[in-house]
Amino acid sequence: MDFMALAVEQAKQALADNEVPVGAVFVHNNKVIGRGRNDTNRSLNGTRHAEFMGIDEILQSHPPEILKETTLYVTVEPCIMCASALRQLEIKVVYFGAANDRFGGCGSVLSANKDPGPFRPYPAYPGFYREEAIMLLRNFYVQENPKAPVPKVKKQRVLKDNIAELDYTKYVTKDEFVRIYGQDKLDLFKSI
Amino acid sequence: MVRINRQGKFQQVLGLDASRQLGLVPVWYIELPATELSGMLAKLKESLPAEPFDLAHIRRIVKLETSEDKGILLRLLVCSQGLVPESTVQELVGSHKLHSARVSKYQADTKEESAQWSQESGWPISWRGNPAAVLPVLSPETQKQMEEWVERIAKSDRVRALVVNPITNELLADECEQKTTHPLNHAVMRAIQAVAERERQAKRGNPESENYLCLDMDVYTTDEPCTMCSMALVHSRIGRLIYIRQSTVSGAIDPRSQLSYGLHGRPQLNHTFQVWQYHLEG
Repeated sequence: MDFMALAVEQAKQALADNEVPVGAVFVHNNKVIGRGRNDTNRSLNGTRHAEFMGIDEILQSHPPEILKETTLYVTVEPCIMCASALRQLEIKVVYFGAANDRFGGCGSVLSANKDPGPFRPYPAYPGFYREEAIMLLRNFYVQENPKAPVPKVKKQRVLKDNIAELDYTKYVTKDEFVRIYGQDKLDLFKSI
Repeated sequence: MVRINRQGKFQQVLGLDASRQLGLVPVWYIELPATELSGMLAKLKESLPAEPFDLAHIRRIVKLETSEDKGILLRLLVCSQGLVPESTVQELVGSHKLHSARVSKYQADTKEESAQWSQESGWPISWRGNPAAVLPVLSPETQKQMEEWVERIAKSDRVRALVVNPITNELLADECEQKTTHPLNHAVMRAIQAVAERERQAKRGNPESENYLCLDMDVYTTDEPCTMCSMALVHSRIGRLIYIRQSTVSGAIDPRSQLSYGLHGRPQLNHTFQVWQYHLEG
C-alpha cells in the first residue's frame, strides 16, 4: 500500500491549497502514470475531483485503453460521478481509504462500480490509510466555507479524533474480504 | 401509480419516490366493541414500542357495523407484525382474536392514489392532503423561453448541452460531446467546464464576481445524462434540467430508465433539481 501513501501526499497538498483534501494515484505495471488532487475551489468547477485530474494527466500521453490495466489508489471513496467515469474507462480495480457517506458511488450511496448496467464492473476495496484520510477531511471541514451559498458558522467545531468502525459488508463480499484483507481480519467483516 | 405533471410540451420527470409502487407492511388487528376501545388504546400505548415505519397516515380504527345487540363494532390496528413477538401481542389483547392485514407503507401523493392504495391494500389510508407532493407549474412565458432553447439543440446530430441563466435568459455554455480523444468529454461535462472557465475570466476582470458553480441555472441536453453527468449536475447545483430523449440504458435521471437511479431527486445527495422531458411531437 505504498501507493496509497503517495495518494495521501496528494491529499495533503490539496489541504495546503485550501481544497477538500482528497488525493489519487493511478498505477500501471507498478509505475505511477497519473496523480490528482481535488481542484474544485481553484477551478470554480465542482467536477474537478482528484480522479479526473489524474485521468486528464494520463490521457495527455496515453490512449484511454491503458486504464483497463490500471489500478487507482484514492484516499476517499469515489463519488457517484467519479465511480461512473472510472467504469466508463473500465478501470481494473480501486483501493480507497475513507467511505464517502454523502456522495459515495462504490457502495456507500450507490454501487455505480458494479450495479447491473453498461461497461465492465470493477471491484472497489475500502479501508486503506483510512484514519489518515478521515483526519485530513476533518482538518478541512473544521474550517468555514465562505463560498457556500449559505456559509455555516463553525466556531464551536472542534477536531474530533475518534474513528468509527467501517462496515465492510457494504463494499465487498465475504470471499473478497478474505482474499484482500486476510482470514485473520474476518472479525472486522460485520454489519454495523 | 405514477404521478403525471404535463405542462404543454414538457413533462416533469419525477424522482424515485414518485414512481414508487404500493409498499405493504403486515399488521395485526382485532375486532372489538366501541365500549372497550379507550381501555385497549391506553393499554397498547403503554406497552408497545414505537413503530419502525411511520404509519401516521394509516387509519387506526375502522368502523365495522352497528347492530341492536352488540352496539358499534370496530376494527383496531394493534401494531406492525414483528414489532414484538406474536405471543406478546396476544397477551396484550387478551381474549380478542388476532387477525392479519397489510397496510400501505407510504402516505399517498394524491387523493386518487390514496383511494387506490386503500383499496389495493385492503386497509384505509386517511387522506388529509400531502404538502410534500405539490407539483411545479411552468408559466406560458417560461414554456416559450424553454422551447426556444430546446429548438436550438433539437436538430443536433451530436449529443449537445446548453447552460442558460433562467432569470436573464443568457446563454452561458453551448457544447457538444468530444469523446474521440477523451472518453469522458461528454456534452454536460464540457458545458460545466465552459461555465467555470467563463467565471474564472469574469473574476479576472472583476474580482467581486460571485457566481457559484452553476447554482440555479437551467441545463438543456439532447439526451438524458449518464450517471457521471447527472452527478456532475448535482455537484454543480443546477436548478433545472430539460432534455429531449430518454437514455433507457445509460440514463441516471428517469426512474424508468434501466439504472433507475433518479439522481436528481435524492435528498441524501444534498442537492436536488427539477427535470422536464420535452416532447417534440407536442
